[in-house]
Amino acid sequence: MSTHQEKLSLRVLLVEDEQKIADFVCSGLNARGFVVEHCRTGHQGLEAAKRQEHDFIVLDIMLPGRDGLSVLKEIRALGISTPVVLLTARNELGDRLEGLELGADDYMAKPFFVEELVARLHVIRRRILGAGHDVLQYGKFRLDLVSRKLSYEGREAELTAREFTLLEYLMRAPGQLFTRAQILEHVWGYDFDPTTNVVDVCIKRIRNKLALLQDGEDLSVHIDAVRGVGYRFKP
Amino acid sequence: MISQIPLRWRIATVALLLTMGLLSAVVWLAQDQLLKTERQDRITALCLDVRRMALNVRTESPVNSMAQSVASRLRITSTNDLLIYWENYTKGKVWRSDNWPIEINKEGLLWKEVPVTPVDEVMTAKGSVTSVVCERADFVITSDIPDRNWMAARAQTAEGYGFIAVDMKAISDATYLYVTRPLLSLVVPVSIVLSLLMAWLLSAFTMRPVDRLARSLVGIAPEKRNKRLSLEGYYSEFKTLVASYNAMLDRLEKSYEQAARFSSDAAHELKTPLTVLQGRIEGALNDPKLEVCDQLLLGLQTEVSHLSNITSRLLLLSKVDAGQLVLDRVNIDWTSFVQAHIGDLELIKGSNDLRVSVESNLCVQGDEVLLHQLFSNLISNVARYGLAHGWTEVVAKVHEGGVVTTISNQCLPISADSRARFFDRFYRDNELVKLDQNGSGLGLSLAKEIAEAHGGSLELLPSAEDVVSLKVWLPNC
Repeated sequence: MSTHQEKLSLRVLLVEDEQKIADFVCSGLNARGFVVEHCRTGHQGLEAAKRQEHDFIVLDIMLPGRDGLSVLKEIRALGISTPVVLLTARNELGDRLEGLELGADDYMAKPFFVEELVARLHVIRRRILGAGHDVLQYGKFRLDLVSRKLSYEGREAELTAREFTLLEYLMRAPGQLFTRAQILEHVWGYDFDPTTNVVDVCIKRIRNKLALLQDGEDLSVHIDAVRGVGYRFKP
Repeated sequence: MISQIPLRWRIATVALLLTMGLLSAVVWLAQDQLLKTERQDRITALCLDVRRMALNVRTESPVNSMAQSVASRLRITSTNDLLIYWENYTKGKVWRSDNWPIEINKEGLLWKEVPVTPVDEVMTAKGSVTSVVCERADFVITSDIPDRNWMAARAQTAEGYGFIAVDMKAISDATYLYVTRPLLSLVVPVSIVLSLLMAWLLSAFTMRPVDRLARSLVGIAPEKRNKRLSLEGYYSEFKTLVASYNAMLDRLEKSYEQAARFSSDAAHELKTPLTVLQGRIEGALNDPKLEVCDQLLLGLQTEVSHLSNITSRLLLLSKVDAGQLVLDRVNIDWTSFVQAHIGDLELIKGSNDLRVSVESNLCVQGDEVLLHQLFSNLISNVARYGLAHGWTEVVAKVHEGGVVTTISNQCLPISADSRARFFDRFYRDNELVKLDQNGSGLGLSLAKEIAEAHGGSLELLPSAEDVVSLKVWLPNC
């Protein structure tokens, strides 16, 4: 029914020296069906990457011995095209250029949400797989990822850019709980004021559109507010 | 205020006064010398005339015929200022000029001390040698009122005795008229012009190394802190100055780097524990066993987000301070960009009292991520401190060779003091902060730095006390 990549058991190579961070990233990715291999140093990471068994490489920039950027450079120089997401603590805005120029597919600023990392991995996956994966579908519900339109039994609803990004984020992991902070960071960027009710207002608008599309029916597809903590998509 | 006169003008003034003084002294001395020479010339002229008289006197009176020519030679205006006397021993005759005071005879003249000029040996027309003694002498006429001083030349020959006297005042008048005045009228303007020129050149010459130094100092921009001034080509006094300036720059750079590294390192060190904390909370929130702790965890997550926010801003600011902010400039469709942010504003504030005026086809060249951050900060500011039911206005238009975007909103009254410190780091208005305590006090200063890094500006426009109007100017595509 859906085009969920989790079912494919994607393999991730995580290169991160900080044990505590590696722990929760590993457990978070495992919980979402990824298979994670963890390396602590740049050298080990490079050796593992050379085997080319991974779907993604999540690479910390600040590593003992050999730093992430030089590992990335070497990987690309060897002609390995595995998508790379950089983890940076230095400065996401200052360092992103160099990383992206060296051939990284995306970057994540510490601190980050594992959910956000998962969402980014899916975006990269979609970009690589290309057409045929441009629709998220649950029953009669379709979210067209290209035209950004929501449709239900032939009826269509337009979504604004923010509404689309938010709905796609929730729909990628149905049943998964997302807090306001996570949603805010994914949709509005890390610097947006966390105290505004912008997430709630936006959710309200999406709900209205969902209700309008399922006119008269029993709202089989909807967004749940969970315990005042956050929201989840219920197909 | 004397202290406000530029150094160059002071040097010029002093130089001008000095040169003028020097020139006046030279002119005065020269004139003195000239006057002496002139006086000597007059005496020589008088002597010549007396000699001519002594040698030519025969039968008729030589006096009146001579008076005119003597006067013109001496350049005096009136023959009244001349006294001519000739006494012929052999013929027993005395001739006197017309203006001779009748009651005074030769003895009525009170001669002063007489310096004797050399005796001339003159060949007469007849071929015999006559000796003519010409004396330069001064006298006063004893009964003359007003008291007049006469300068005279006397001559004595075998045949007779006589003198020509001239009023000293007439001489000095003539000297003034024919010597001093032309001299002054030429020398004074020339010397003034020369003095001015000298003063200007001297002050320029003195100020040149100072100007050069000033230009070099200006050339050291904040982002080029490692640049130092070269000691080459400066005078020894300036070398000391340049050396101490360089030493000061060294110290500044060192402490600056320390400070920048400190905030960067501190922010960096904070990020790892924050990441761990955020990850743990995220995990716990998804753990059904921990549902009872939801509110606690949620509160923790909000605080962690807040901390992350501050840390990120500090890192970015330290990057700006260190001059290491790299911009990824692209052409941005500014109309859509602003519309997207207006959409967020609408989500937060509702569309009531939201006035929007955005020109179409606006284009700005800049770093999209950074500019998003700039506008997120501005929108957050409206969300935090704007009045709940007050108006908000967004205007974007082409202006002054760039694109100007103004966000204005109604707020609680803000004092002038608060406005002056609007962009200070960590500054928050005491009254406004009561509305919302989650601000970091870094958003606007960061927004300003981002605008300036783009060669643009962010300023608080003057407005009514209860209105905040922020204007962003950014360069065109």
